Amino acid sequence: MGDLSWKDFLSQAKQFLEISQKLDDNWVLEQKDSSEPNIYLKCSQKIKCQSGKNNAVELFSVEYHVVYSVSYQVPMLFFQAHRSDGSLLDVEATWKLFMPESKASDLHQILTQMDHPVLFRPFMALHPCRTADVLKQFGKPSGNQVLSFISLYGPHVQLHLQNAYGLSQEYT
Amino acid sequence: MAETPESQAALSTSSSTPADKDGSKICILLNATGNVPIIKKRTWTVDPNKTVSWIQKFIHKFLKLDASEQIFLYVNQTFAPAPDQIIKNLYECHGTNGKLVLYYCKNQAWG
Repeated sequence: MGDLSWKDFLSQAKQFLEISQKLDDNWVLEQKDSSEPNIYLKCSQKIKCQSGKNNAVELFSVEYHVVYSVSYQVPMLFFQAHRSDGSLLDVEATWKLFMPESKASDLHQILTQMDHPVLFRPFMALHPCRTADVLKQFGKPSGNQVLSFISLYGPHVQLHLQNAYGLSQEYT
Repeated sequence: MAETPESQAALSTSSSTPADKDGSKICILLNATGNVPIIKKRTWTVDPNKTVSWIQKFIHKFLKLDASEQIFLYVNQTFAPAPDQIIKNLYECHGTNGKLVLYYCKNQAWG
């Protein structure tokens, strides 16, 4: 419990997608091929943030991927943020944007650049080593661990799900 | 379990406070899961404009947890609401029988 198999990840990701479509959210399922772990959930959004020297409001475009981690047997959150001029945020800029209050020494354990398991490109990723523990704490096993995962870890990187995601009775 | 002064100031018992003062408040039911200590008093009333993270901090303080540990709140066995979500919205979506049922657990989030 806590960790999940590739098969479970896949079926729960598809269930999550159905809920998302009912709620008119913009999640999609990306598929490179059908082998493990080449299918992942994707969504993108624009976020507004005050940054720069004169505190101007800047617009960022962020793409989130929820990918299955073969080594940890849990979902992992990968993402990439671009400025409005198209330039990519590096690790420092990402830390500053998403986790302005955390210390740099902690951040190395939270958010770093890692190889995307499907695309083989460097992506920002939230560390997965505690994910299984956290999911395990959900009393009875959570009906949809992919949904639990996204709702738990998304807010750390400004990915908020509507409250209505918790409403579906299908998982109980 | 004796209530700490700050908890009395922040949250109040649903039974002992006058109804007129309490009318706009929302009744929440806290359930412990996993290895988290149980709070004996399960029913609390909360100002509807408080956020989820405020409740997380409250439980954290109430249980005197270590700073590295984090409280997670969730509803319906599955969904963890965003920390900046206000209780009013959450109640409108997930409230049942005049109550908002919240589950909480603790764990180290990182490292």
